[in-house]
Amino acid sequence: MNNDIQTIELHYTYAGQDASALHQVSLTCRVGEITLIVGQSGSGKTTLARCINGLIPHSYKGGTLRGEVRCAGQPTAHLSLAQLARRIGTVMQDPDRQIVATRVFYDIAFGPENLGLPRDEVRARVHEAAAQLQITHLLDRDIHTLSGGELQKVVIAGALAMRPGALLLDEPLASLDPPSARDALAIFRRLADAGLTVVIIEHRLREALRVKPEHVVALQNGSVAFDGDVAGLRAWLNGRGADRAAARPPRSKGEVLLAFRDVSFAYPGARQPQLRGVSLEVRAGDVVALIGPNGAGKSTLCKMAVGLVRPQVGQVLVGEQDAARATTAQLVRTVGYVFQNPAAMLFANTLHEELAFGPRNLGLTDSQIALAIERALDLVGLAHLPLNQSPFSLSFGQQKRIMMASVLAMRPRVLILDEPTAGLDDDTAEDLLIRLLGTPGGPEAIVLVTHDLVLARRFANRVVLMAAGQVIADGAPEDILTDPQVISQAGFDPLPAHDDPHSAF
Amino acid sequence: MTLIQRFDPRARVTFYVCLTTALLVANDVRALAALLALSAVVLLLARLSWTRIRPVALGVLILIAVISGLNLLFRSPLEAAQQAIRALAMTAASLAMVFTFDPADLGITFRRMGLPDRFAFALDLTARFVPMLMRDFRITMDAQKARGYELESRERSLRSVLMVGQRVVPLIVPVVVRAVLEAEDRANAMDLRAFGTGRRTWLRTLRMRPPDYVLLVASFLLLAGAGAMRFVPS
Repeated sequence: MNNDIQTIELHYTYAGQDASALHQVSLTCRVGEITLIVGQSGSGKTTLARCINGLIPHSYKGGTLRGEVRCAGQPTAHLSLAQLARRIGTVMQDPDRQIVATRVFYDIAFGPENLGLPRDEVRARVHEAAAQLQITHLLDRDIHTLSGGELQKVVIAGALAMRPGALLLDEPLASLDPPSARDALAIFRRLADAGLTVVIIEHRLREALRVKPEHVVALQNGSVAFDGDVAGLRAWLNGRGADRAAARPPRSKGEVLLAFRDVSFAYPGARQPQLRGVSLEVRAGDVVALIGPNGAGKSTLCKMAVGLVRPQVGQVLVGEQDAARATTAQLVRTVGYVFQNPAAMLFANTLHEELAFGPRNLGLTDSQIALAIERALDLVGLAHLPLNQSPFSLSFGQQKRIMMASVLAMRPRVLILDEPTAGLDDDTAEDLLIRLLGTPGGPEAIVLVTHDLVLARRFANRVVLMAAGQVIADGAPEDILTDPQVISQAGFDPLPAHDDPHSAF
Repeated sequence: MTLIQRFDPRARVTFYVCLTTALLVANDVRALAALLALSAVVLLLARLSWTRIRPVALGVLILIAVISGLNLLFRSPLEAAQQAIRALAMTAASLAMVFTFDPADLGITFRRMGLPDRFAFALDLTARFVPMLMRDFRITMDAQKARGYELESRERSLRSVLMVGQRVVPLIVPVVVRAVLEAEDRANAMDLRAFGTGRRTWLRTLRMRPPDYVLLVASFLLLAGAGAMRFVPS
């Protein structure tokens, strides 16, 4: 049976909305091929995915759907979700939210169990799917002991256990570090080569192209803007002039603002220490890219700078202050720490209340707060937003900027950004950093915790590479990122020597 | 695997319900003391290390001590003793139950005790949901601390005590909003794996063996005994 997925003049408007999320989307995803669907946030990628896997119209009711989705030549409109799930397996963005069981084996078994298959058949399918993804050794493990990359393999195995002819992956790279992402891309390739129709939806164009898709579709404002192969996409992007200037400030050896002196730390009960004798200084003028695989100790180190984690050995100096003798509320006057996900901190009714929260905690006066908010919004390029708006009404990208502004409003001298580009498409992420680095009056030093080496080369003037709780390299981006001997120690692939904006193609 | 984990989870749940009900029903100090001894034996059989149960056990023990103190002051010593024994026994039985029960057994246990598929599976999900909620809460706590937030206000005044409710808003709102949004994703993910579309297979199987029936009968006898001592006039 050929398991092509086809959409014909697909058009969808969500219930209660005037603008359509998709119009006239016609495309064909062929069996044995990888189709990559790209587009910025809000371009209709997720809506298209929901139309293909049947969540629209089965779970999102009341919208207007026109056109048709076909799987293996058959219209899917009359199929139930359960029938569709046996044809098209879906893997959504955050693996954590899709896992339902506490143990790997039972999670993979969940789908076949729901189909009411005999127990022996369910067991056979679990083993088959696990073997396909080479995770048989994980079957007896508890879910909470798995790494991000392992979790995702479990989710994919769960979809494959339904024995679908096609696999739909919605932003599968979002939560993975580069070594796990490389693993995942190899798996997608293998599945396509084994005869599955693989559809990948991604906004991180640069990374996703590494899977070498046979077919690329770009969505823009709900319509197909490009449909062809990678070479065609390159020409199309060049025609749009997608490249823009990098804003990399020169490095100047200024005053030491943050210093770690031989710091070690182990979480209680952990077998391996998280940090082992780390020494590092951050000076005024530094834009540091802190790079390393998940679990290398990057977050722990950053949390130490604001006293959320205390070193067991060694010393952390924040300005002149010994971090061990200060509270977090005191340290954040010097070092600002922006978390990865805005959902972790947004709580207020209005933007003003949200942005004033930090400065007010520091005891600033109302007039100082108003000034700090104005400057902070300018730094993230959101000065035009009305301050009585609710932060929850903003797009994810805007929420991320507001989160950054809420820390900038405390006027820290060093700003730590944990995965500043996570959840943003390449263009939006770069715009944000260009603005932050290019506007005068920002923090004196910036630490970018990131997995994105291209981003590091464009924006940082210094790279600190960590692996297994130690700093293994510290120097100029061009020396570290392109040196295979150095960068491979952290499990990364080196960048090509020259900064070609389209080097990823 | 400990001795108590070898019993069928249904028999264990039944035993736990009967034991705690008996503790509530009984008011004779000797009977209560016997039940406490039984609970203590169960706890010992669970072979839990003190470090594992300390976070929970310590808080509960302190609470029991405080309440017993108040009971001594305002009620009779007899009542204080009864309450303390009840609370201690329930703590012991509950610790033994909670810390040895495999979360993967939750759904199937209640399914086989008669709950429909959907409700039974909801219990399985709870086992996953609670740790995720706690993780989200820790992240939010750190994120707000990084904005200079401190749970305890520095001023020690009546006003600051009254403000406590308002002070937890920055912690509670993000966690709740996130949980609600995630519920949609989770529901979608389950739909896409055909949940709730028909009668499902439960891969895990349970089998009652002779010792389980013995435990079942013993549980009912225990409850009946406690009821008889309390309500049947001698």
